[in-house]
Amino acid sequence: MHIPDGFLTLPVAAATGVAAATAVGYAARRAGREMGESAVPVLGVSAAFIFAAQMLNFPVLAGTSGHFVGGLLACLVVGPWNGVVVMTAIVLLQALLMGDGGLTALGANVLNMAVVGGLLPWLLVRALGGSVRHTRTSYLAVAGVAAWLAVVLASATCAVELAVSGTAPLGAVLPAMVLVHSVIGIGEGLLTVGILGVLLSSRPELLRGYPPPLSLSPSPAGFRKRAWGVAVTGLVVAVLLAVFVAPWASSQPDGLERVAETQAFTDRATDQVAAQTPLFDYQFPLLGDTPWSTSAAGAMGTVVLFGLVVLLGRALGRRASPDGAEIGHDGT
Amino acid sequence: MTRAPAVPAVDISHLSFRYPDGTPALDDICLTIQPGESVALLGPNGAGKTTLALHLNGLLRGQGRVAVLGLQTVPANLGALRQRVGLVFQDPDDQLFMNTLGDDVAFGPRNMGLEPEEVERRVAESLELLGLDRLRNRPPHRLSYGQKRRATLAGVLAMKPDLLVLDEPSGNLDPVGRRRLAELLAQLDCTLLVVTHDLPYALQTCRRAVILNGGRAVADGPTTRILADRHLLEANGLEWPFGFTPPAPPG
Amino acid sequence: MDGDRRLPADPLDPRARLIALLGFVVVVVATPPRAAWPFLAYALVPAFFIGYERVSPRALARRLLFLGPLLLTVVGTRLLWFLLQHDSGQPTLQNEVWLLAVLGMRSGLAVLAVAAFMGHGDINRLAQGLRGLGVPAILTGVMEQAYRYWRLLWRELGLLRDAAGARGFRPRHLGDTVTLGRLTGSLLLRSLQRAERVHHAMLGRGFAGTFPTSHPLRWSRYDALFLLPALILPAAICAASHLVE
Repeated sequence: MHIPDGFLTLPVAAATGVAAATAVGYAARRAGREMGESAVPVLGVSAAFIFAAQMLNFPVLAGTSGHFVGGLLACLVVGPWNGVVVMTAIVLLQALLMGDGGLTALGANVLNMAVVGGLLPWLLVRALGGSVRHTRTSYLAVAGVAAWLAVVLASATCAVELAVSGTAPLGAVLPAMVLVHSVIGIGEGLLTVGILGVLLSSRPELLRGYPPPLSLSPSPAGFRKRAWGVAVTGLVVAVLLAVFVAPWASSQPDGLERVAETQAFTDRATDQVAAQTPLFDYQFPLLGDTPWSTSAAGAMGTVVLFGLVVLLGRALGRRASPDGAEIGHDGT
Repeated sequence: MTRAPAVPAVDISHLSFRYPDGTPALDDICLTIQPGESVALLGPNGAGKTTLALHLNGLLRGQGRVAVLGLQTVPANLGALRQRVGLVFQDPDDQLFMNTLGDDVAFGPRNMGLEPEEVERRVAESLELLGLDRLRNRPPHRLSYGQKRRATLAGVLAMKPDLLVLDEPSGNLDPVGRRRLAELLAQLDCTLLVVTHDLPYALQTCRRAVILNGGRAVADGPTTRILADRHLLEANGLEWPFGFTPPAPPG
Repeated sequence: MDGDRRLPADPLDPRARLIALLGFVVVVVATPPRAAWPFLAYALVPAFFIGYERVSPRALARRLLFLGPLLLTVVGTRLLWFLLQHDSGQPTLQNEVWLLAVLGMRSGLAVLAVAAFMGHGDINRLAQGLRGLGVPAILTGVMEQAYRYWRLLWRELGLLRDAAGARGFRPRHLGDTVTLGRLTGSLLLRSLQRAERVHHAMLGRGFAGTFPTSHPLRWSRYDALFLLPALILPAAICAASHLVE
């Protein structure tokens, strides 16, 4: 679900980036105001928990497994805006220290996992969680379904972002992503139910905003109004993005789809490569005089040059401190 | 050790506390500790020892009067109080919340608003005192348990507290670690309150002992006398560990 | 006294690292996919720093593996589309291969750049740099705490799973996920209780909302020495790729 760099065009990256930055900026202000000096330790340890839980694989179908995302869980446990802060911190850490998820895709990833996969389903739980009767079971059921929906919605947004960038055709990537994630989402839903169940039976007071307000009692009118406000604003922003950004984005020269139509790798690109760099004038013996051969030779040349430059860097470089945190403590 | 005798280090009278869910934790506690004393707070699990410790720098506030180093634990005093009361928690991982040991030790002094040079001096000093100066750039997850224990103490000592409160300092320490810690505590010249159910350790580190049970202070006296009273201990959920016989109380 | 300080503190301002990284990635993503050579030339910039900082090759390989799932998704969906639309004659196999190569090169370059430019992943410096670039302090504070505690919690989760495993629990199918959730739930419970204790410990040492630092960020000539090549080189390659038609 983490989109790397290069899969989104810059206009898509910028649009999602602005949207995400707005949401996160607001969330950070709210979190500071609501929680005061407890924000850093409480949200920080919660983020560490989600981070650890994300490394948990669960079996999906014979042989395959999915992993936990936790956007909705974060929002349910620490509150919606605090949850956005928690998920953003995780996405940032993964992008900057682990190399999981791109930098230009930060906005899209935050949008998918914190807003579409957290805030939105949270609204659903909030609105429906206490609608029928205040029972633990109804709350858990709604939360489970919402967690499933969170994963499916996030995967759909991810697919749309890829499609608008011209990376993958919408007609194929949307159904594929939604299909796969509607199975993986079952795991997310069940995990969320299991986790919340433990919390509800032993320390329900740790769960912010539980029990959710009864939608039929007199007070939630204001809430419903706000929920509508959020929904309408979201819709307007989405439409604006679709109307103004999407056509621009797909007409960009570096939209991959477009390039596919106008330029053939065989007749132009490789000729240029060969013409410009003497190194690429070689051909790979096994492949004969084909564009594949040129490419293979080019790739080989690059690998060699890459290695030489790494060695040059090492020669000029410094010895890493044995106690400096090493890169790549990922996945310990 | 020469301090103005007028103000007691800890002065608690009629303190009671209930947790928000209604569980009573402390029940009419009265306790006075003079500056320079070393006191062991003994009791079984759930006796309210940790809860009482959390009152000493105003992290919890119950009914009754708590004055520490002459300051009442009211919101206006908490800033000053927390600089002068060093609380070392049970699990060192709770207390080492920064990403390197050096930063963690510097955390308190920096919050006190000290100049960078003074912060640096204090960090170096307390790391050296605890024999951790070579580990300064280590992240906490790469410290051994004993090193973590000492690191928490370094972080608190860098603030130069007047009252040091240790919660189960001997828990999970190996014998050498225990002895070293006891030697270190003997060197310090601040008032010491050790919360523990480790009787030999209380005897080793503190001259006075208070037994807490069910949220009430049930006994108070010289450690040797308290530990010699087997019936008192057993009535309060404590007992001599196998093979342990305390020295006879003087007189 | 200086036993652990053989390495002088990172001479680079963390803001410089972040700017170089972001600049590099933006340039790579913005380069039109007409030819392969600009992408291959870009690789030399992170290559130098990978050598300079002695980034472990295994860690690098692991990071590149993260690209796998989404790259496969794109390959799969494009292939599907290609097969369905084959009669329309528009996309050609060679085009498809080239597009995937571009995706792979762009994303791979970004992964190399993160490994190369972020140094040895010093979270404190990173957080300070982000704050210096305008990221809210509450967010960087949460990042620092998350980084501090995730390993601890992951280990606790491992212990919980071992304990369940010792009593015969093996997650085999989706139905077992609820049990897995209960295990994870007890970890969450412990984590929230830990959060409370960490909060107490912070307050006990005078915490007032943000992490204080006593080394303010200051630009130095090292930053210029680093930023100039790190930004100008990719920009030059990008410009050249535009000029060469």
